[in-house]
Parts: sequence; C-alpha cells; structure tokens
Amino acid sequence: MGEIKAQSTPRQIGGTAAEVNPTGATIRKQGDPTRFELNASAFAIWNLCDGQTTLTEMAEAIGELTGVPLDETLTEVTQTIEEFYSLGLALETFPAPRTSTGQSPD
Amino acid sequence: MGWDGRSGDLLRCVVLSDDPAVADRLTAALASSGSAAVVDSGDKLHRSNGSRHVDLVVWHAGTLPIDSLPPDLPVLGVGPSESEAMLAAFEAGAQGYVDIAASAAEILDAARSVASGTAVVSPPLLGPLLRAVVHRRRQERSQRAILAVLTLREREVFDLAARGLSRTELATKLIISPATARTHLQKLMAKLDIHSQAELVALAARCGLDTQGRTYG
Repeated sequence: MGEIKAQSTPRQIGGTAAEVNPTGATIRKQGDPTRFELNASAFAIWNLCDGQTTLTEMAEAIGELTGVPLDETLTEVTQTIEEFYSLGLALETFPAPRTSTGQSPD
Repeated sequence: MGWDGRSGDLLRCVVLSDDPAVADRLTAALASSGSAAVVDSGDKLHRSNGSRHVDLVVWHAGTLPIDSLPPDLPVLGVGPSESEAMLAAFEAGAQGYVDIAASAAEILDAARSVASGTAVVSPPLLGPLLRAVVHRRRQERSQRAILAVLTLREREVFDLAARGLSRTELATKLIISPATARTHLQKLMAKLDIHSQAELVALAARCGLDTQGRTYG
C-alpha cells in the first residue's frame, strides 16, 4: 500500500456489521468469522469511512472536539485508516470531481 | 488543572437543569459510588455563597441558556443522543456528552473523565457527532467560498448589514454616501442571489459571522 493521501475518502467495505460496546465496537465481515475489536476513537473514524469524508475532514472534526492539534489528529487518522486497509475493512477512494455549481471540500 | 481522581478527592459537582426530575436522577447517579457529590443543583450556578469548591458542571444540555455555563469549569453535557443536540452542547462549551438515558455508572465515568481534563463521548454517540461536525464544517467552508465572490468593499458592507446597521448607518461608518451604500448592497445581494435583509443575516449566520438579527430600513 502506498502513501495514503489526506484527500482520499475511505469507504467501509460492504457487508460489515458493527456491534457497539462500552469501549468501542466489534466489526464483523460477512462470511468471515474474524471479529475486529475497535476502540472508541477507531470506531469513530470507522463511522466516517463513508466514501465522502476526507482524512483531513476526519482529523479536523476530531481536533475540534478534542482540542488536539490537526497534525496529531491527522497522524492518528492516517494510521487508523492504514490499519483498516490492511485488515480489509475499508477501501481507498477519492472524491468525484465536483460540478461547476458544487463546492470543493477545501 | 482539573480534578485529580488519583488523589482520592471527592468529585464535587453542580447539576444544572431546569427539570427537577432530571436533576434528581443526575444527582443520584453521581452520588451512587460515594466518590462524587452534588454540592448544588438547579437552573443556575450559585457561586456567591462562600468558598464552595466545584470541580465539574453537569449540564442538562439544551434546557438552559448557553450563558448559564461557567467559562472556567469543565462541563459534561447530558441530553438526547441526537447529533444536533450533541453538537450544540460542544459548541456551548461542554467537554463531554452522555446520553440522558445512560446508566449511573456511565454518567459517573464520563463525569470523572471530563473533570480530569479528558474530552469524552460514548462510542455510540461519537460517530454521529463527528459526522455532524464534518457536515457543519463543510457548510461553513461552502459559505466562505460563496462570500469570496465579493469585493473588499462589498464584504465590508455585507458584514455591517449582517450586524444590523441600516443603510444610512453603514454609509456613515464607511464614509460613503447612502446611495453608494445602496449600490454596494444591491450588487452584493445580486452576486449572492439573496433578496432580503433576512436572507443576508441568515447567510452571515451560516458563515459563522457576527449577526444581531436586526433589520435595516
């Protein structure tokens, strides 16, 4: 896997189910007995893997709520997304080009 | 420096709610372990009577004005698990949020975390809250991009009009004639495709600009 771009928009792979628990969540993939335990922050990032939210947007939102500087939250988000990719829980996608009436995320 | 639970100190809380039933429930939850105590409860913070020490405000979010929150104390919001309510609580200054239906143990855990300086939101609420933050930030970005079409002078006029200055007042402020002010307003409203002062104020509010919601003549 090459370097993850901050403007990529990770997407959860299809057929996953999340069971929320007090410390985070357990993710299951359809047809796969493996259970993936996510802590609260990883589960929050997982929730944002909708194919539309960039890594930068994820990091900014987390930083806004926690007061942690953007460079630190972006590092955490990037590492977590890398792990999702390596575990086959998410796919790297990129935002579709906007129309002339749309607004760029940046 | 926040409350340090490691020292075994009692966590002293104030419960802010205008609903006595909710206040009672929060008080019971906090007091359930014996490690926290509610030193005051009600619809406002009373700090004038002596040297009563407070570590944390537990705020029934959405039921009281934002300005009822003290700026110098950590705040745990308690309310519905709706993203808009959570987002409003954080924007009001809360450092943590738990569902109003959470167990006593969850409320107490969250109270301890916030009091010791850790932002906390329970896992089921965190995803929707973050999505709401992302959504709001996108809106703000989008609105800022919209305002970028204005010239510097039009932007000045826009800002003043958004704060409720009349055409005459903003002309005086900018040292231009009322007719020129009117021309700037007409041009900027055409650029922004808005047709009334109410729309201008609403747009300014969406952009996070200072507004007072007044109208100009």
